[in-house]
Amino acid sequence: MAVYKRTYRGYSGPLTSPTWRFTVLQRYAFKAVFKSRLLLIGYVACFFAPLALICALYLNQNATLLAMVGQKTGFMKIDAALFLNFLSVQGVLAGLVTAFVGPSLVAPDLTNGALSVYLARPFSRSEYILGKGMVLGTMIGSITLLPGLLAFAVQSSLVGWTWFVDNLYLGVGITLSCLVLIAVLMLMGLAMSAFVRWKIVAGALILASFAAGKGFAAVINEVMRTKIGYFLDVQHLLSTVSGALLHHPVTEGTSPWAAALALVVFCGFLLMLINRKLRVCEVAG
Amino acid sequence: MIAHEDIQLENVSKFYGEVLGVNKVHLNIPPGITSLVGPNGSGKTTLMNLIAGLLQPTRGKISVCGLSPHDPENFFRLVGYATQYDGFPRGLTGWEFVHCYLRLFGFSKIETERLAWEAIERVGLKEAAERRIAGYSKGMRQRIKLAQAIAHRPKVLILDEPLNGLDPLARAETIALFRELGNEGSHVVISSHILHEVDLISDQVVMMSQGYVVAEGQIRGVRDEISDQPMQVLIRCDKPEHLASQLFHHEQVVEARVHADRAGLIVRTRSADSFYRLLNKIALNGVTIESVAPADDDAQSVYEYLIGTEESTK
Amino acid sequence: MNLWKRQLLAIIRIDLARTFFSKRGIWIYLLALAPAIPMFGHWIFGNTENEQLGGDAQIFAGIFQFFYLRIAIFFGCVGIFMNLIRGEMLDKSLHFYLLGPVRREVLVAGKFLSGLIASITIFCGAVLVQWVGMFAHYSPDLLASYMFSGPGMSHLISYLLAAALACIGYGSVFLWAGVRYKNPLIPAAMILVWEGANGLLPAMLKKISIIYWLKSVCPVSIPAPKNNDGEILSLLIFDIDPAPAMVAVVNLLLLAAFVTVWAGIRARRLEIGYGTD
Repeated sequence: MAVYKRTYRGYSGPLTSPTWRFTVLQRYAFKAVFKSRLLLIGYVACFFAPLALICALYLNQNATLLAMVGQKTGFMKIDAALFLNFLSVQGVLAGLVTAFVGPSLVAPDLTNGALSVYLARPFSRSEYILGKGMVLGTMIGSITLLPGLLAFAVQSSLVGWTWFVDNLYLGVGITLSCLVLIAVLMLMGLAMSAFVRWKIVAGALILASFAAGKGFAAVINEVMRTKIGYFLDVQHLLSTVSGALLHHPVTEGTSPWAAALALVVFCGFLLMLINRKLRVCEVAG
Repeated sequence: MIAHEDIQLENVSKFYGEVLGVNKVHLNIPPGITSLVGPNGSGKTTLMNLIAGLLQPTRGKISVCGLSPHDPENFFRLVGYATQYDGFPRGLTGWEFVHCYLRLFGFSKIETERLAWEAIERVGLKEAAERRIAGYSKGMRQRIKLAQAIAHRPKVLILDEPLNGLDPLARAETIALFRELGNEGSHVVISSHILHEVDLISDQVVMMSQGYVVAEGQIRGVRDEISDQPMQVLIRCDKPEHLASQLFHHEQVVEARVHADRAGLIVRTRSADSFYRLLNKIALNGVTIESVAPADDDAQSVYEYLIGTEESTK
Repeated sequence: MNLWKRQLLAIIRIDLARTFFSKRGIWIYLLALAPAIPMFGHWIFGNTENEQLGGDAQIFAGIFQFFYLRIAIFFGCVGIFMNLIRGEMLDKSLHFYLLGPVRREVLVAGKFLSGLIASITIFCGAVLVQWVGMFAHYSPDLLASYMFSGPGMSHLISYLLAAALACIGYGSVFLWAGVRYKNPLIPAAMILVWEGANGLLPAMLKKISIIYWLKSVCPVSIPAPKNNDGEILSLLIFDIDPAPAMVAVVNLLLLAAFVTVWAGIRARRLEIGYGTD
């Protein structure tokens, strides 16, 4: 039946402002991501450690409880090492989230030819990348940055203003470390998803690049009696940068500046990969 | 009578979780060409996959010439299936594709090669056989799938949308091939959207809608059973207006209208037999009738009556 | 030759060609040969004068246990064995097998054997290349005495055996995951975490892993590396008493046989439902 016979009328409702149009993609992508019950359970599980940390922080300052166990001071030391370890745990979980969520963002659009449909609308390539990236960014941020800052705030509220002022560098360090982590993982998820159109393989590649990068770095260091292998270990580079930002330097490996530079180069490479792979082209044939 | 050579489905249902694939299908498909007709999502592919054992029924029983897919060693020697999936193993040429899966049948090397070439020649792809499938056109891919399905000379051939993507010449050749196979006593079960071709090639049709079989049998028989729709008859004659005026007086005639070319009359009647008797009498009253033919006992009309035009446009 | 044998051979032939020569599989070769790159690099460009063969044997053992078994073979087997069934589902070509007169159990066995031949060839071959890269810079006399009078040959055979057993063990598990799960990456990630966290588990649970038995076949015992850079969840820590090598071999073979039979039985219910992604 012809379209006019169905009395077709175009959409005449309010339009999302062009500045925030990328959030439309994000909204729908979230819906698709949380369709998987297993992923939802996994995502919820990512909040166990933050919850445990916040409870521990509370109990650590609870005088009644401490008196019951016969301790005058808290049972754990609240310092940069604690927050660094916390970020390491959440970082591993963030890596897993990236491996499972990242590939489902771009790969299906490329496989099923949906990218050209998106870009045929008033929607730019950068908005597409930003919209898809923000899905990962929001999820990673919610399990790293948000609980990290929450834990810092809880500790500040329990101990007082002086602790907050004295340890403000921790709050800044947590924020910056998480932003670096989010940027790296977001780009990695998008790049792998664009590079390998198979969802499963892309996910495996993200997992493998963490594990294999670390392992291969150790192989180079051992065999060649050098430290240049550390530049291939993304986890180590992130830890080194986080350590420096939290004023708790990592003793072995590269310097924080070298690690930061290596991460910048790595991110640049990922961006280049995304730029090369996320193109709409028509193949005649 | 149900014969052992038939494809039998007894109360077969298939659900994908809560989504209905097909429901309560009772079918008995005899040898010859059978077309599965229905709109997208009506359950044709599910039914074919069930018959071929790629899916297992949630309920019910399926047997093909007395065999079940649970006995693959015998079942799949009997059955050949060209699916609508456009996937092929990577990197293979057309000949390698047909040949490598034929090896699973346990034929000797010489026999395998002979059967592979025979099937490829039968679908007219001999020249392109050594080229990679990745470089094939849509029509060539359809034909190589067909070659793979017929290579082991199955008695039951199931073909999902086999005419899609074929050019007119290839369509004609493929239809001729189906006819040939049907005449050899094989079962050829085809799904198609092109109702005109269904008319041309089918010995019987199975019409499906929303997971249910709504009609089965020969088209004319199916049409006769649709009692709520008056039959249409096209009468070619010299004075259509005069004939129409005479017919209006009779209660069997529901509607009579002059054909667009003004050289005939289209009549809708509740009873075709009574109408033909009436027409004999009228013909004696000075109207020259050149031909009388049913106008709506084709697949298109039956499809529209049973499934509806709205459905077909979805 | 009976029908099953012919069918097995046919399946192996079809799949072997795809595993060995597909572009998609290049990364598996890279993973297998990755340790050889710095080894040859060190041989050609490095200063090897003051190095001890015993020290290099220790480094090789460390690389083999912590990188090769746990990462290279693990992910290599993910790539090879999951591709056998689930990969064909993604390519929408598995139905060509299912429409042949082949029992599903024979199909799974054929696919497992083809994956095994490919993975053992690639990973055991790469062990030999690494061995050459690691030790070839020593003088022929020293090397001959290490290989034929010392423990060299037995170590090399043990490494080859461990690599082959890793392919058998991980291969069977990932083949099963490919048959059982629509997204086999989830079980793969769970197995990775389980195998990695094995050192943290009680003794009884440690034995419910492949890496424990593989470590028992390795000729040189390596202590768990200590973490000092704040990564408390390093996936590379484990330190347990090994089982006798013979017991380890038998257990791994039994595990593989059990899992493969399970996959074969599960394959009977395999249905074709190709998704859109």
